[in-house]
Amino acid sequence: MSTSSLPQTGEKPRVREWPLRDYAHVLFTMGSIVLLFLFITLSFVASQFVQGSMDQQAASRFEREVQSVQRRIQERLTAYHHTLYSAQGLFSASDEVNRSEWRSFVESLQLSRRFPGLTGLAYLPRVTSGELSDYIRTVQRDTSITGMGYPDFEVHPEGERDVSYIVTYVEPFSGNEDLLGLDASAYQMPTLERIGETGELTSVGRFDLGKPEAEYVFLMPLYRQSIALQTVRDRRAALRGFVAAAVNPQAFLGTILSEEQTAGERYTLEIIDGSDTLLRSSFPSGRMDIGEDEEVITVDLPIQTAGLTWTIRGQAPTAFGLETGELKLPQLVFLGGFGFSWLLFTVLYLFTHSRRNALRIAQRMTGELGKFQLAVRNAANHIIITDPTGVIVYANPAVMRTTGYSPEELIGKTPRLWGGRMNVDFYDQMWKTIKDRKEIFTGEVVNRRKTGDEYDASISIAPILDHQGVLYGFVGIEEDITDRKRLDKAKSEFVSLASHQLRTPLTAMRLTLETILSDTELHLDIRHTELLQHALEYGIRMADIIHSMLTVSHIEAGRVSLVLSDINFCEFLREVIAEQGPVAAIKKVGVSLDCSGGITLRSDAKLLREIVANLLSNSIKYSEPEGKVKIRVSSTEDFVSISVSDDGYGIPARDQNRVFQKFFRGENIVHKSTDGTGLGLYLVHSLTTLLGGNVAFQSEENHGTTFTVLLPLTPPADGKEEDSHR
Amino acid sequence: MAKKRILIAEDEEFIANLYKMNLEKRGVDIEIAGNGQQALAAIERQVPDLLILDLLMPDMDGFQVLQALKPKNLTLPIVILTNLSQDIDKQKCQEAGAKDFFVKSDLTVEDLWNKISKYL
Repeated sequence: MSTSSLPQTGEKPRVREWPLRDYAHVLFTMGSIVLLFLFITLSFVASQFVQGSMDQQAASRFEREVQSVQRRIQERLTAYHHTLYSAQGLFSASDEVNRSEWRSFVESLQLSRRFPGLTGLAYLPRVTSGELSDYIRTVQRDTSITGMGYPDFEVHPEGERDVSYIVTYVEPFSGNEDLLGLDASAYQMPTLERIGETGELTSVGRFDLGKPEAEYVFLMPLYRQSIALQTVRDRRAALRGFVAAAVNPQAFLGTILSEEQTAGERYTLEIIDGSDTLLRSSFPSGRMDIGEDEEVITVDLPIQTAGLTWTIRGQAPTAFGLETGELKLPQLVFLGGFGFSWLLFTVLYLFTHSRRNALRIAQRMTGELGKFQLAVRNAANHIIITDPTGVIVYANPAVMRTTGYSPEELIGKTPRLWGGRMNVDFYDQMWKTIKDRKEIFTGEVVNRRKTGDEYDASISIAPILDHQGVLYGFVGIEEDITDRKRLDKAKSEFVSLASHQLRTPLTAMRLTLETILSDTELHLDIRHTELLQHALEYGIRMADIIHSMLTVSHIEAGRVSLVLSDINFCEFLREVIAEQGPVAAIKKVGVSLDCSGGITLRSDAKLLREIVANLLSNSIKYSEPEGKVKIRVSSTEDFVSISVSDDGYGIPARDQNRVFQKFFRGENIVHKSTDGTGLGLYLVHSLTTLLGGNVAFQSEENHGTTFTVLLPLTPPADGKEEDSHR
Repeated sequence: MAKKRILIAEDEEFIANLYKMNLEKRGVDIEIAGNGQQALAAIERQVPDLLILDLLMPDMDGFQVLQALKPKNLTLPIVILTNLSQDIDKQKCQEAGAKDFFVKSDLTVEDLWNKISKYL
């Protein structure tokens, strides 16, 4: 068994990509674009709607504004009328109202304070042409207010009229002096008669009353008390005069409009009588008037009273009463909608895009997964996957051949079902390797099939780790090696027996020769002795060959297990050199050792001896007689290096890449020596590797060779401790 | 001092005699047993100073001799002289109490004597 680090995750296997048929992608993309335009259009419509509703809001707000002005004008006019009703009441209460009483009455009304614009109240009695001279005299002598009366009083304009309605009292008198004696019938007779017939308060229009501005005149008829006023005829008969009110429109409207104040808003108000503009005011005063090219709201409202029809016209910008923030609302709505549309489009587009990518990745992964699954499913080897506790989550069909159980029978169970027959130490070691060290565990086990038969298996278990090193589970691969083991055993037994059978006659031959050669009583002549000596050498060589072949066979069968001990390296080398001493002596090759200090090497002494002996014997063998062989040793903290140099035949350059192959022999030495199996360097290489080291060489033909072996001072893992002999 | 006695268990009579001939020259007494049972019988009669044991022998092989001797707890040193050379064989012998393990064909008599004399 041995452990090794996990293989690096290699490049991802390339899997052919399947074409992606995704019409939905096109649909989504087009849909996104259509939605983009739809939402932009909707934003525009919404902003127009907001604009419209704001305009409407402004218009109705302005209309309410103008209405309030209209109402106040109407109310003021009604108040003016009430002065005339009061005057009518005054005349109803007593048949005669003298000039002084009229003045008191008008003063009590406090015109300038309570009725601004009402410039005067007058009394116009009916005077027939017959009564005229008496009438004039009466007025001229009227001293109720001034002691001297009105000596200059006369009726104007001049002319003969059957009936006159003459301004007799007018208050306040100051400013209205010119009106005294004015005969209204000279200007308005038909109107006066009509008013008398209807009995209604009526405006007779605007007149130049000799004042700075023309004023409106309102008339209220007065009737005699005694007569019932059922019909037009009744009223015509009972008519005894009029009370009149003069109203200066500018003063009257000006006071109303001066009360008008809507903070910050720009607008104009105009009061129009037919084609005449009575008054035009812009608000706020001092601010720029409404421009001609400006878009405006125009509100026209009628003012009707006592036969009078005015129009109040208001004009304001379309944004009347709207806050600065509100003004931008439609643009904001549009911009917001526009932005939202783009956002929506972007989101949809990205969604579509990532959906496509996700689909592609999903398809690719599904494809890859499918292929991996198929590969694992059809693998010849038994493959199982377990969770971290060892419970099987997957088993491929090949498990049937090894264990006899179907994959379905294994899922949810643990490998103890067919395994678990090794000793506790084995499983301890296994769990430590795969779970604690997270390394691959390999080993050979004896398991039991469903049928109860035992079988040999080679197992390898690898932890499944994610990128963070978190354990997901294990993948276990098992191979039934029962047949191979049986075959190995048979082969090994054969080799063992064959070598035994070869060695036995060889032993007999060697012993015989040795016995003869050592028997001093035989008195062999020198020629016989040489022959027997040669025979013995060939016997020794044959023993060496058998030894090498057996060793190779053992290494190849993996049957060599290391037996470690502490080796005093210099001492050890001296021993090996001494063993080869006789051979070197024969060729007169000098062997020198350069080894100092107490280098202690922990290794397998027998295998190490094999390595050094092979190299040394080669050096001696392939040296010229009287050549020099040097052995040098050096060490570092972890390694010891032994180099064996000779100044012999060397290895031809063309052969150098085959030096460590089995049965290699240099072309140059094949002709010189028949001695040699071609196994020596192969053994050196195999054994060095087994001991965790390596071997290299430098050689030049006819100049010599240096082999250098590098060995670890501490042994490779997996060795057996042993102190005794070999 | 009496001569040391070595018991050689070896089925090849010719080889056994060659060893006997060469070792006796070095001043020891050699007794030969042709198989395991004879070896055990010889030990039963008189425990030698050293047992040189072959492994592959008819009737009762060297491994069985080792197993049979183990419970007797003798002080008798045993060295294996055989033509088997696998690690497994060496290991088995060592576990059964053998002191040394030699391959017959690889040793001269001189080599053998050098290696066993320390047990005498």
